[in-house]
Amino acid sequence: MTEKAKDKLGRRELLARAAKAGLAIAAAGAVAYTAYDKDGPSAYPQDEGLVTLPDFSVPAQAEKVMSVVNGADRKQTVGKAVELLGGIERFVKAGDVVAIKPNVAFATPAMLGATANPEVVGEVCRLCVKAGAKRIVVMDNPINDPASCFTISGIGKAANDAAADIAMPRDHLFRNTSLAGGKLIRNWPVFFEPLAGADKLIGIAPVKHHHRSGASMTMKNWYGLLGGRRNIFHQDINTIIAELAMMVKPSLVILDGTEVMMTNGPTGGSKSDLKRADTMIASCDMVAADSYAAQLLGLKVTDLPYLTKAQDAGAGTTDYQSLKPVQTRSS
Amino acid sequence: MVLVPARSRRLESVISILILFVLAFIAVSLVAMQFETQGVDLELAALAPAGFEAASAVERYEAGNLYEKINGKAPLYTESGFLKLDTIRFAAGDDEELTMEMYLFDMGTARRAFSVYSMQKRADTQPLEGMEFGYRTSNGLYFARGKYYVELVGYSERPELMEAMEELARKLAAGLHTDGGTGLAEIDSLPHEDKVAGSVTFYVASAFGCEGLTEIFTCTYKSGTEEMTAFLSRRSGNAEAAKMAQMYRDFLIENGAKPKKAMNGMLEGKVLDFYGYIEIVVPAGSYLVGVHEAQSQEAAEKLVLKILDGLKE
Repeated sequence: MTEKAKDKLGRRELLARAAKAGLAIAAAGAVAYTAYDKDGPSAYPQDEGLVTLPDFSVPAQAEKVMSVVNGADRKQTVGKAVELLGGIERFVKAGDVVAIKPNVAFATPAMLGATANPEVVGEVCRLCVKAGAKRIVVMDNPINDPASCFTISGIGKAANDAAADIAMPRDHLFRNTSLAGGKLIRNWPVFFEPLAGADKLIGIAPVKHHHRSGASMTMKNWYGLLGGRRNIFHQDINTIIAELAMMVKPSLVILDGTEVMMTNGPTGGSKSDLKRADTMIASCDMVAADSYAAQLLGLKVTDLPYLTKAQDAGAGTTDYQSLKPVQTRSS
Repeated sequence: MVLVPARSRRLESVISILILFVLAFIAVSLVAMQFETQGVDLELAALAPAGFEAASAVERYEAGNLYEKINGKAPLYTESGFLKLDTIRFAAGDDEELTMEMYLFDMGTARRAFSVYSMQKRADTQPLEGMEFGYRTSNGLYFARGKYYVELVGYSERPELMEAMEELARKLAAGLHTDGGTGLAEIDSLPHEDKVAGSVTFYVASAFGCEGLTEIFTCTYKSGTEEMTAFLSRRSGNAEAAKMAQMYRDFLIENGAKPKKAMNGMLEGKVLDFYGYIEIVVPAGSYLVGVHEAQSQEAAEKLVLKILDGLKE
């Protein structure tokens, strides 16, 4: 073979290899182009079988919308507060499946007041058992690791001692929902399955200061039903709290102001963040309950914009006085 | 037989070797990062006080996921320059009350650490011995040291738990690098007379609700029933101090403040009446100085002039 022929073969080989490489690059580019999502991942999952949360509210009874009981013993005060609204039998019927949603947000002990008090959770569970509930499910999607939260807060033990089940926030228990007219809750995952099988829903929350919203009480408690990267809602905290109040229609809410977290909320961390207020509130109107409890934090209704937003959206009234709340002191 | 030119073969070999080097570098970096994290785990666990041992793995949080640990409180830190948080629990046996959790916030600089420390400082606390910026409550120890802000939260108020937390605090403080000094020289420029102890606070941003008021030291002064807040900030130069002073003054006026004649001619044009409270805003060289929410104009002007005298020295 001549040198010229060898060169030609070399160049031919080079061109052939270059062509193959070019085809490979073009093919890779074509695959990348078809797979490319220029919009990036959607903040909201695609609309696939949106669910609607059931309405768990019970028929209204005049002058039995809200009760306030003063006392130091939580078991006594919560029992009395429910009794003043007609007793647990008004809310729970024999054979009911009751979902209880306490604030189990953090893996901190009850003494720090960042979570619902296990005594209150346990007593409410026992009241439901007394009313003949077929099954009680205690549920929350905490901020911290769920197992640690239920254990360290004492709520897991309180639920177990009262023969209640605990629903951990596993992925397959979430479904997407949209709030009609909502700006934020659109195609958003919520902790749905335990609610789908329930007849009644009771929320239990402590009264706490909150760095972002000013306060965390019964309406903010429903944050624990949201899934996904829900922290983005902190940027519009008042709207999300109001939308939660529109989305969730519980049978009853319990607001524990026995020890109020006055500062450094929502996590607290020091006993000195807490102030004794010895107040327990039971209510069929979340807006009214939160509005009443604002004073325990040294706040006015106008200091908490989410209250007025929720009222304007029809979730309740900030004028709790108009409901003629029943107030007494426990023995 | 296919002949490939020698030059092409050499070029292919060089490119292949370069690609292999890059891949190897990536692999080594990933492994190194993994060991770095494990090293931190070992260090914090080794701080367990006598009778206690680590009851959890070290959890690390960064700005993107800090809310997963402290939820709505996260912005307090992320808006103040937060870098990372390491937490770990220590416990003595099975007694749940003898459990503590340590929160080690890396705020990047001593000023930022002091900022989050001072913004959350509880009232009616006891100073923490051996810590320039530290205090204790009935179940917790809190301090700022170097670029770190530390919280030790006890699950009870038992004395033996508090003793263990103090031991942990000492060990931890000894191991935290401080770069010397506090980076908080402005604190020394604030007059001592009538200063409310422990009231110095540092706002990285949005002091007094004004978004543009950044890097501001504040301090509460109380004389009799008169209480007011002095503020001081060192800026990058005279022009920045003047600009910030004008910005804050405009902010106050937009929100309803009215200019008020000064009692001391040196402060003419610097005094405002904000719904009955006195506000004074003064650019002084590269410093921004002032008083916020004073009830007495005389006391407010006196305090500002004292601060200005101190800055001249």
